[in-house]
Amino acid sequence: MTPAQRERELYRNRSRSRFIRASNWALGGLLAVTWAGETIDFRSIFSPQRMNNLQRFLREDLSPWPLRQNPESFSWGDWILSIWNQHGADGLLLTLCISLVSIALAGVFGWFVAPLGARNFMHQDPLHRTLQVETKNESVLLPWICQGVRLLQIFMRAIPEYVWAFLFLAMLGLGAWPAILALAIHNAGILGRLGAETIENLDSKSSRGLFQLGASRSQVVASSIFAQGLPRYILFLFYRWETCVREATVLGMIGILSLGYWIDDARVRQHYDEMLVLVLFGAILVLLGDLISHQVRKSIR
Amino acid sequence: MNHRTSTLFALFIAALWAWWELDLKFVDLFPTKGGAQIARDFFSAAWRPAIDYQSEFVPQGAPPFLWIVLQGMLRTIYFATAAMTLAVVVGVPLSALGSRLVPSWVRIPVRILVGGMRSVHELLWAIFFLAAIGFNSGAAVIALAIPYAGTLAKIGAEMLDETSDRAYHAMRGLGTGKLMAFIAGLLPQATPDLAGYAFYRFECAIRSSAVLGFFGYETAGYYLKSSFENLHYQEVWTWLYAFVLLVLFLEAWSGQLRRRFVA
Repeated sequence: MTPAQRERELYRNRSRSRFIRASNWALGGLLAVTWAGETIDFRSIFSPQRMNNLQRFLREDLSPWPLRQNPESFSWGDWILSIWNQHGADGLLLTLCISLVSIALAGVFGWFVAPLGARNFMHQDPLHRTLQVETKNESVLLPWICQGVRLLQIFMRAIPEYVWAFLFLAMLGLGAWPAILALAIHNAGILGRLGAETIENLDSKSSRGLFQLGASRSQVVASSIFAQGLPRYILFLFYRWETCVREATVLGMIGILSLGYWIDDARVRQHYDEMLVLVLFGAILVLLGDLISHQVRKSIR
Repeated sequence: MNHRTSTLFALFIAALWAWWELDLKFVDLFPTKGGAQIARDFFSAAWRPAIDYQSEFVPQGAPPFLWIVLQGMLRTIYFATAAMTLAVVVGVPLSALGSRLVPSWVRIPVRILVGGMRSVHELLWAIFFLAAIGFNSGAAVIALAIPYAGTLAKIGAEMLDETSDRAYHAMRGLGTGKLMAFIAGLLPQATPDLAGYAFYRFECAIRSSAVLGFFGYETAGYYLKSSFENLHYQEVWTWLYAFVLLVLFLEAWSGQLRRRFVA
């Protein structure tokens, strides 16, 4: 057999996963249906009318209103300061506060529910000690509780924050709670899941030791699992906080007085210049949040 | 007090301050009259999601309700797929340009650009486009794609930085060009991680595209909103459950893929 033939044979007999191939086909099919279908209309973006709109938007609408009125006495600093004083500062403060309360609530709930979602722990024979232990009858239920908790977590995070907030707004009325609940529920679902995965991947030596000394599940959780898992969980917590800041801004658009409310308000009044400045304020807050979170995560890693 | 404890403590203090600043009260968590009625009706509908229109006046020849749900979910997926396609096409090259292999005069501007794309939420991009060129599904997809491309570029650059660059430098040493050494020496090692992350972001994109429905695009959020406003809570639950099913399906799929990639 020549080397070329051998190569070809090796190539033909390479290990292939049918599942991955099927996935690739499915992905290709999805792409084809999406881009060939009529749901997404890219062509008419460039219609002359829309291009006119865009031109007017960029040339006129975005330039500051007072500049258009009275170019001589216009000062950029005063204009931006006036937007800051009017709604910008309040909106930003509220956005920040909503994100902080939500992440604290989500963090606490996610953390204390996390052990309930860890599969190796919620087991009749936790961590597979292979040691003869007395098994209480109730512990048969544990794997079911675990599955139930995981399903609940999926439900909490599958529904977008925006939808949660929309639903709660109708029940609780105007105020910060709908936004906080929405963010807290969605993120508690995510953090609970990440926490459970962290616990599953922990080094089990110390927990096993405690079990062998006769500790109960809750004692092991309190003394070993929580202590070991916390550092990683804090990383996730700050990473999710970044997202909370982003989402808290936007949740204003359904009528909660965070920055998004004033952004949408400016859009409805067609004061696009003001809208642009408010969006930039929001972007600065998000960047600051990312920076703080990055520094914190670096310092505790 | 060690560093971690003090960090958590600081976060706790900040949250307390925010609580005080927002003037939050636990009492307000319990809905008042009108809200309580809505809450009762809404949550009691959870056990019986609608399988047909709740409204008594359904126009003749209207397609079955579940067909509408299926179409709405598919359209949500199409929006997300189109946005993710653009995000990958733009984000992966940007992640390469933002990695440490690239000289700093390219890397730093790229990272600033990526930060800018990420720092504005997709819904804000969407209303921006709404104001600039009007209502258009393509523009909505681009709005979704901008922050998603940014995020993919940022995380991708971090992943590439963490990949071992020994094969890359070995190939460079043998005289391979930079681009080829990157494509053959670095990218393949990072591909499973990148693909896994892109899959996760696809799930997020589906959520975002559902929310686009609140702005009039005919994705899941559009129907959910109108069902809720018509007090058809059972229909709302059908949409919510459809969403959970989709996420469960994606999770099972990505779990299988990850197992095959790692094994």
